[in-house]
Amino acid sequence: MSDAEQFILTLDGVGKEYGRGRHRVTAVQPLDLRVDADVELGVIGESGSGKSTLARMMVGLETPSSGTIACNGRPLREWLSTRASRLEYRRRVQYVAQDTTSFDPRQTFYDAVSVPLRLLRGVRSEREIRSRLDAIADELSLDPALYSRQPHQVSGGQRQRFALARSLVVEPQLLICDEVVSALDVSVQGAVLNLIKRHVAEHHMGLIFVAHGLPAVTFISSNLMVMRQGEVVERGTVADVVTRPRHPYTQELLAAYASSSQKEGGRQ
Amino acid sequence: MSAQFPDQTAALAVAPRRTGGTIRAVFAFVPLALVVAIAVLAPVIAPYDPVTSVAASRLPPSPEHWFGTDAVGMDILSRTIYGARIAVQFGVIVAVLSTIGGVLIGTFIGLSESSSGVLGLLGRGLNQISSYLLAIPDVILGIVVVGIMGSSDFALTVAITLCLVQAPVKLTRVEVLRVRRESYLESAKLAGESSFRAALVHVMPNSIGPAMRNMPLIFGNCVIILASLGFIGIGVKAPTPEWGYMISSGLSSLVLGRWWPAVFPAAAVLLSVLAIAYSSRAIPRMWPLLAVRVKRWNPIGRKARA
Amino acid sequence: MRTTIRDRYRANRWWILRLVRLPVDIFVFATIAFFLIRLLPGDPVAVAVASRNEAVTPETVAAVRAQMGLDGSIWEQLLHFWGGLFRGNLGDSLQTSIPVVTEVFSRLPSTLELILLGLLGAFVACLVLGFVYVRFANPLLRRAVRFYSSFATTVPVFVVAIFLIVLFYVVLAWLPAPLGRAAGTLPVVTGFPILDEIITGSWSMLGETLVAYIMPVAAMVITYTPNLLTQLIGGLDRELEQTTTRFQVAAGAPRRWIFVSLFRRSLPSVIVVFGLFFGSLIGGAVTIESLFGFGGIGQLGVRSVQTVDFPALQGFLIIVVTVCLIAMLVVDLINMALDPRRRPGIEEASR
Ligand SMILES: Nc1ncnc2c1ncn2[C@@H]1O[C@H](COP(=O)(O)OP(=O)(O)O)[C@@H](O)[C@H]1O
Ligand SMILES: [Mg+2]
Repeated sequence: MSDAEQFILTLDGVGKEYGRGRHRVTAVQPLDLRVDADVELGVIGESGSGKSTLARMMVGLETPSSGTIACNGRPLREWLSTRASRLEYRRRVQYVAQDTTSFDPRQTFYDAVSVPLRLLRGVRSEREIRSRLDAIADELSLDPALYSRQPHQVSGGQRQRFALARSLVVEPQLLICDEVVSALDVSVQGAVLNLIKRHVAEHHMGLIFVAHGLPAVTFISSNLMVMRQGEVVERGTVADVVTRPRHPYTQELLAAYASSSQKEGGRQ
Repeated sequence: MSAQFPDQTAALAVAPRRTGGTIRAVFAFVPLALVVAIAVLAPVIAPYDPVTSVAASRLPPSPEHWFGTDAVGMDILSRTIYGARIAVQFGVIVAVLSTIGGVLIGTFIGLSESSSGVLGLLGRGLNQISSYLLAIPDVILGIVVVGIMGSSDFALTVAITLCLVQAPVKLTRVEVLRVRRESYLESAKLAGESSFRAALVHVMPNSIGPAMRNMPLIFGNCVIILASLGFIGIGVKAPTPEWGYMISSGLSSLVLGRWWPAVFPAAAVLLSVLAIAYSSRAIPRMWPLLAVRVKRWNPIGRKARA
Repeated sequence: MRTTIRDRYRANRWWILRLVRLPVDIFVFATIAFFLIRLLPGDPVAVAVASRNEAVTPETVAAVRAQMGLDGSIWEQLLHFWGGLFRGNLGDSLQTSIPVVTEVFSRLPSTLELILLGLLGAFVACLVLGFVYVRFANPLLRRAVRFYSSFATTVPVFVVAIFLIVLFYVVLAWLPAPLGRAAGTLPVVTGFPILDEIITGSWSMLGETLVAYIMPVAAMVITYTPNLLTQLIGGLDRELEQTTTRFQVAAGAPRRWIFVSLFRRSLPSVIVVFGLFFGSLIGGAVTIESLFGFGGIGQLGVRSVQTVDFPALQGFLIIVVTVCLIAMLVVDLINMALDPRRRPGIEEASR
């Protein structure tokens, strides 16, 4: 196996610009990245720093304006060119979107979550679908009574967990989560983080976890990447970055967290 | 038109006002239903055959002939009742045809117009053509189409459908443009759905609302155009009891002071278009309410599967 | 120097571009119409031949086809059609052998006159009712105005006219029978009957024409006022809520002044409707002309249908839509002049 092939995702000089002329915005400056299975990568940065754009490029929802993305050594463009390989790519890499409007308002959650099972995993029998769904729902502490609901009939947190369920049933090799806990109550956040962490560990999945805050990322991932205005300003293991931040922005960020946690400690 | 999704939340807000709501919802349908009922029951209600002379000509209204008789002795009441049948026949066919056609064309335009290549070109072209056709006055288009195809029911249907299909095309296109930006389409893509499947399963069902609610309006407009074409003398063939044609053939009597051959069909047109207009405004308002009701009737179906 | 010219162009681009678009629109529409009427199911040649009760031989069919300009391939026809279009020639009527353009334009003015009178009347009625709506706080009155405005686009104008005829001619006998404009032949100078009667000083004829116009114009006003009124009322309701109005009231501005300002801000939405429903006015005018015995474009259209006059139908369609396109142009220009936000360049800059 060659070097490139062992990585699930390989990004070479991948960057993205929106608009042209005066309206040109550089969302992501060209960057290199290797993502291996079994590796958890946290990506943080303030909003507008290009995290979502980066994540969306990895699943083909945006086309990079420069550089190439490859999956197991094969360019993403090729993966997405034919129906069969496109499905195979979807089996390997799944993405949970940032916003919670990612469900068809007319579909029940049951129908929505069973789609990837049918189309990507080829599960035909209703009973099998039901049992796989139950297993995931149990992990996510989702009540089966919610299956027959439509998106507008549940809370944002429940919708977000169904979105996770829709990706997790596929059992991908790499899961990309875009701010999946930002919309949740603090009380639910912990539970969902725990769940993602456990699930990823049990199934030996790779994980790219995008968040705008530090705590969730340090809890869930071992590696950290800090983005600012489309640029990667810092990367390394969580321990390294937290103890020895090199970029002033990261230092600032850490200082802010330190002071806020002190305040909280003081209050308790 | 942009407030599609909130419909459902509105439905939840209306739901508690149960009985009053149901009665109002039913009343929204009554005028339209009445027109349709007269059309369907015409053979039962009408006292005489509508296309044979049954009495002396030009009799004024009397107990035997409530609406009098026309220039060839046909019973105007029977003809007016059968007129509803003609109007409803055309109305239903045209409404269904143009809604189905409009939704299909509108969806195609909405999905293809921003893509590059032949499909995008075709989509943009169709959209332009639709805009230009929208600029043709209904009656004028009717005259030209009937003139070229020769006068027949088929030609009339084509003519009126061509006039009225543009509204559902535009309504659906705007909806599709909105729906395409929805992130659930991206999720569907990631779940392995092809764009064709997504168009059928997600885009169309979420975009047909305005076109469906526009259907009664098409129905009403069809009645108006049909009567107008009949009135200027290029509608359905001669003895057929069509209101517009009846009015125009009653004109010569009207000038001589015999008002009944023209006035009764005119009143029928007036009442029916008002009834249809009332329903076509009230039904969309009742739509969310009805949607909730239907859901309540059939809540188990889905659960059983889940 | 060059920059000033360019700046001047920039400032005026909105109407220049809109004007340039008109011929393009007409050309594109005419081409669409060309294909539309050839793609319709049914063969006008067959219809025409069948309607003549002559022996059908291949020669007669070929002759009719050539007369209609339907011989040769569709591309040859298109080239021929475009050539005619640029020279303002849309073929000759089969019935009268007169150029179609001449025929339509000889009838168009009288139809336009009717439409403009109806439109003017509806506009005045709409302003009066709008004034009533804001001036008197009487809720019953306001509901009545609202109710009337809800009749927009529901009732065909000729039905309203029938009831007017019954009331004012049959029952009350106040107005003459609906049998044309005036006895005798109208003088033709511009083609607009009233204008021509004034120019030639045919005063008695003018009087007759005006009397004959009462019912049709009244029917149009009654039918079309709600279309304008809904827009005006919507605009007024919106503007009444605006802080500008509240400020004016609070600042004690004179009442008349507030009304003028209120109407000025509500009118653009009414004018937009003019453009949109000009087409339905033409359709309505066709039925009205047929009802009152006025010769106009409607009469020409119906005659062309009866005689399967293909060139006349084609030219009729194109010219009528051209008139609609011009009406939309005028409405657009007025609107852009009144409200700079509607100018295309502005929209781009703010985006
Ligand atoms: N579709 C788009 N068109 C134009 N600009 C965009 C688009 N999507 C994102 N951007 C811009 O790209 C930058 C990065 O956005 P995003 O990746 O969503 O940031 P984050 O997820 O970190 O908040 C922002 O400045 C945003 O305005
Ligand atoms: Mg984001």
